[in-house]
Amino acid sequence: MKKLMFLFAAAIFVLAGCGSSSSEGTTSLDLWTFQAAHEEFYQEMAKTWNEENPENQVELSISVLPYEDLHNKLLVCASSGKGCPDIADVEIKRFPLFLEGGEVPFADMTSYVEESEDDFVTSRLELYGKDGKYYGIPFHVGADVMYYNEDILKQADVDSSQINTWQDYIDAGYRVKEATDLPMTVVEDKENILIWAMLVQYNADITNEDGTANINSAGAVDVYTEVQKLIEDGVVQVAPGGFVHSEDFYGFMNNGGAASLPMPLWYLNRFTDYMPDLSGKISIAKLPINPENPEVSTVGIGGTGTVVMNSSDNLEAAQDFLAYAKLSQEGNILEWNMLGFDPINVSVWDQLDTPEAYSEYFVNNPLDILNQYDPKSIESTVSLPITVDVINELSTNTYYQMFEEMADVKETLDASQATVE
Amino acid sequence: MKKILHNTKVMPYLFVLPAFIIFTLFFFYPLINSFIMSFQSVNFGTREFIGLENYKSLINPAFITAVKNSFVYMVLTLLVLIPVPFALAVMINNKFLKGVDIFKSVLFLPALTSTVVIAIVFKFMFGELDYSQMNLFAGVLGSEPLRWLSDSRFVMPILVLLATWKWLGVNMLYFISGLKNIPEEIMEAAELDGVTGIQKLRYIIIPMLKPITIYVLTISIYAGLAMFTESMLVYGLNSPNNMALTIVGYLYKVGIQSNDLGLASAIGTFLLLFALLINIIQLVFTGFFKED
Repeated sequence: MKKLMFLFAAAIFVLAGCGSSSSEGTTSLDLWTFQAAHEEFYQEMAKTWNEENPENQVELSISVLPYEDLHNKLLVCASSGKGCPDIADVEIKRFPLFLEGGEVPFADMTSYVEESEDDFVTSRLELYGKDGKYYGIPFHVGADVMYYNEDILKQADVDSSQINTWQDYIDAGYRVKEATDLPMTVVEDKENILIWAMLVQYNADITNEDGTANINSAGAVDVYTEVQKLIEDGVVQVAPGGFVHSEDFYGFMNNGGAASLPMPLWYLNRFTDYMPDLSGKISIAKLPINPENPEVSTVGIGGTGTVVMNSSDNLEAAQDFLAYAKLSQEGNILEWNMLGFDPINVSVWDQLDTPEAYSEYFVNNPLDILNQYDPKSIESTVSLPITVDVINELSTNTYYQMFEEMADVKETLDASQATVE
Repeated sequence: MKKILHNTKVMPYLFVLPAFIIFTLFFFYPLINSFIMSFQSVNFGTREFIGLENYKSLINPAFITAVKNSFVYMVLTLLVLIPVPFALAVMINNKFLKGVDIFKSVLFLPALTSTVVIAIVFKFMFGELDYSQMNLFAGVLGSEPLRWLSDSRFVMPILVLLATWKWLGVNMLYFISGLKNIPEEIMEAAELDGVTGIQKLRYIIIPMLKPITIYVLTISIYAGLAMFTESMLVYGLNSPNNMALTIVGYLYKVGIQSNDLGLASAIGTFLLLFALLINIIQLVFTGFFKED
């Protein structure tokens, strides 16, 4: 028995020894992400960091967790204060939940941002901040652009470069419908990504700055009424599968199902990955504007904020590395080259090259479109705790009722507003 | 040491200790804690009693829809997953049937597949493109391509079909094991008395399978009410008008997506009491508490 006990104790010591294997001068950092592609990015950045800082090396131990898992686990560990990683990717829809309580579980990154604040699209950084402090560092601007299927437009004799306002776009839509019997674009009823930028352009963002829901604003009524009319006329249809990331939609679009798609620049790789048959047919253009609100030329949509957890034992090392990976020029260039993200550090925009996969696939260069935008004019959506509830309501009830059941727009929006409040 | 190992009074407790510790730590403690949390507002590191507020805010359209959906789903699965496996079990238990083992294995096979895999396959099969599996069938039958997953009429049929595909074999196996327990003598005696097949079923098989039926009924009721994975994977968390939202789906949305663990605990407590209530009613009616 005594021998057994001894063996058992020995085994425990051996196992415990494995846990703390960081050698002198190297800091081990735990990092959680929900995108396998991000893992590669971080490892690459760690490599260059270690080359530049031989005194102060980092060793990343990255866990790629499923989207839901990561956020659930992070919420739990943030509430208990135990078991959190040092660094984590938090998706924009889940981010506000962490800012809700009195104590933010993330480390303050403000001083790092302020070192070169003018270089950044700050509206995007503010999404992951609160009370003037920045906590999360985004991957991209997510500028909304218009993707046109030139093949379809040609049949309808539409020149995409002549489309400047949403009215131009709608007129072109009717011509496409008449000539080809295809819809100009789609709307989502299980998501709100596609229509979000347009709502912001019409002063109808789904959340107010003061943290209240803004579902039934006058601008929203106008936009949705127009969309409903376009659906009735067959110019717009509900996306197969209900949203533009569904397999049904990829199949539909790949088969030339619709003539255009307003989506952020990060949607580039969805085309190359999921819609191979459209190679050589898709052109990229600036998003049409609302002539009464021309300052909002485009809107940054979606995103992921990377944070350092306050509970980290290596707080400073983690913050230094995060700032290097996602604020520095090197990091931002790699974000574009490796991930296809339009980076938030504007100073690198004219240093970027188009990856071969994109230059072969798209008719024009996505970077030309990006560089046409004044970085400071790129609006962002409002992201507050209530935004989560609003998106839930819109993508469950509101859009389905308005776009599928063709319910009265004003009444539906009023009812949804009341539900969320 | 030896004394303890051979002590018949102590050892039994020692043997159940691991199970007891696991039960207390991972089932009993969370149960009590979530019951307490259902009266609290829970945030990062802070918990504050708010009385019955959580239960009051349960009275909302989404939750009522969720309860309705879960209840309908449970009833439908009971209607399918008790009689059909029963009939199959009786058929397969026939000694004149050849290749019994093949039938058994084939019918049981789906239960071995992961629910996640089945649900994703179902999602693709019921896609809304012209060339999705089910739309090809619909085309053969002369129908236009249907938008299966956006149509509230198809929600329950699809989910029940999925449940049937997966659980038919398991329930059948329960019934077969029950049938095997019916003593041969009783059957032989009945045959000597000239009992017809129908009479045998009515007066011998059904009454003697009652304990198994009650067991299957009890677990099916809870499984039906607690269904979540299937609806989430086929329809997503946000289904149109909440047409595929279940009680646990709502719990997940509230607790995890919106980080309101207090309200989520109230939903969990409700589910527990609801399932208990239905099962107690069911057990009273089936005479489980009556002494023979």
